[in-house]
Amino acid sequence: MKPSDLVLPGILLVSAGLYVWYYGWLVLAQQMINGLQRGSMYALIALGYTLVYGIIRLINFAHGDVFMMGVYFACFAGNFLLSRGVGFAFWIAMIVAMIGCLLINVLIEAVAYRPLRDRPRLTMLITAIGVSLFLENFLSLDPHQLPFPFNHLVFGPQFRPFPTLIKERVYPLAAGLTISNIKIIDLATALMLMVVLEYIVKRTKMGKAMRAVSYDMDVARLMGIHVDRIITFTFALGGALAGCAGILYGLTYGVLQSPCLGMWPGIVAFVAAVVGGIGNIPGAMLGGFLMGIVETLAISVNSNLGYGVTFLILILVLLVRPKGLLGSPYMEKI
Amino acid sequence: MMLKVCNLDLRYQQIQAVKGVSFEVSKAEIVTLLGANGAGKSSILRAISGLIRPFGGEIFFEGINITRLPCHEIVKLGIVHVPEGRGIFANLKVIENLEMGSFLRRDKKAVRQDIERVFTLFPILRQRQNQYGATLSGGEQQMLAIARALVAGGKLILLDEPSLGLAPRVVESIFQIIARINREGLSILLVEQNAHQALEIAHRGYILETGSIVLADTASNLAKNQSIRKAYLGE
Repeated sequence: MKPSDLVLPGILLVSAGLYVWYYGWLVLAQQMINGLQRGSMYALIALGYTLVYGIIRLINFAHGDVFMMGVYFACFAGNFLLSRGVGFAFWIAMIVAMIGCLLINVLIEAVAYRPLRDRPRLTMLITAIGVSLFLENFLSLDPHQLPFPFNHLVFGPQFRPFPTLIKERVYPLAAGLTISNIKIIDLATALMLMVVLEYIVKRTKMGKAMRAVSYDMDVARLMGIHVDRIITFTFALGGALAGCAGILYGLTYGVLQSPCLGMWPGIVAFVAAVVGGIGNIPGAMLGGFLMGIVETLAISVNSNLGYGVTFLILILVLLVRPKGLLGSPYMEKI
Repeated sequence: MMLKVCNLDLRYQQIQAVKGVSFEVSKAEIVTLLGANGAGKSSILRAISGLIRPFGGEIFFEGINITRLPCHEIVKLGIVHVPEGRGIFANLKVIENLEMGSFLRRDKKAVRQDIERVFTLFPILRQRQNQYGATLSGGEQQMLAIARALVAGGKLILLDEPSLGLAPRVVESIFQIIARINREGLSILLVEQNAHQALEIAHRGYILETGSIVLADTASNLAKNQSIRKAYLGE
């Protein structure tokens, strides 16, 4: 324990203290509940960043846009299912969004990253930014001004309402605090997927192979592990998690602003992954919930404060604890 | 002939690491490649197991041309490479490291028998099976690396400097085990700087100097050779 380790908890505690002094305990508690809801989405997206980084040391800046596509997939699937009156529309739309994002993420890896695997790492990073900008701008095109078949491929720049897949109900808790069914669903779904992910990574053969590839790709090859397949599998996992975060986002905020809506959640989730310790799975979960709570508290003070506070935390973590809160759990190889 | 390397040329960028190297390994034979640091020994092993692509030449395993096959295909054919520095997955438990060694095998029952066999061969690994690879000593890591190669169920094991960084007594026992698994029918291609130990258990040997083979003979003849005694055995 170094003195610099106390900087971050110190600042968080002092800020929380000031918040309580100004707004009171009840507001803090309510905003923490709201923050956990936001954090569950950030955590799911952050897991995708951290999984991919752990395997090929790439910050996949397109990940926020995969999440955005998840919101749209869920929106289209939800509208379709509701218009047909199909039951369990929310859960079916969730599966559609997860599978859609899984395929998109696998496709992005195969087309954009795989050919660059042997190049300097910066090449892939810049390509990731390129993929992100491409998705945001291409999908924002107006379908009425595009020839066939492109007009069926883009989402269009306009606002869209997200279908009401689940009607919000607010339940009172003790002392005037409230919680809604949507908050419970967000949090429960995220936690459940984290348990599933933990199981896959720790217990299954694919998960063990993922950790082996992450530690030493060449030795993993010598074990007969088909490294390309493991990387595809990792992108698939990250994509599915982003897709789930996508439907939760739609359910929570009820609106799709534009195909650029993934940019900000993508950045916060990236910060969350770094804060937790990039490449570290529990770190991404912790970082996601932490960023969700911090951002919600900041926004409750002033709605523009969330942006600055997010980066402030990134800068602080990089200054005082660059390896992230949970660091790397095992020794560096010699 | 189990392994046949013909006229192998290896280059890194423009630099020639290995040129025109040819040698063979027969069934149930221990063959050692000796040479100083940078002679190209490790590169040859990396080319055989498919980690690097040769610039020229060909490699045959049991009559199949494996020169351009990907790693996992080569492992499937039965070549297992224990890399220099042991290559233990520090973030995986000992038992998980062994599971990775048997990654391509579908015959779960036989794999369990093989794991049981290596636990008998290296009792310390049984005790440590639920510890992470990072917690093992150098000797234990080398044992795990060999054990992991054995559970792969291969026919030829490529060993890269198994004595590296180990205490003399540990080296002794590692080499005894190598000789033992060879007697049980496995072929071994052993790359070493510790020529004395290597020649003691090997059947034949090749001397590599700056990327070329300068001498090939039986191990006992090489051990008697005056210039080799001077260059590699420190006399």
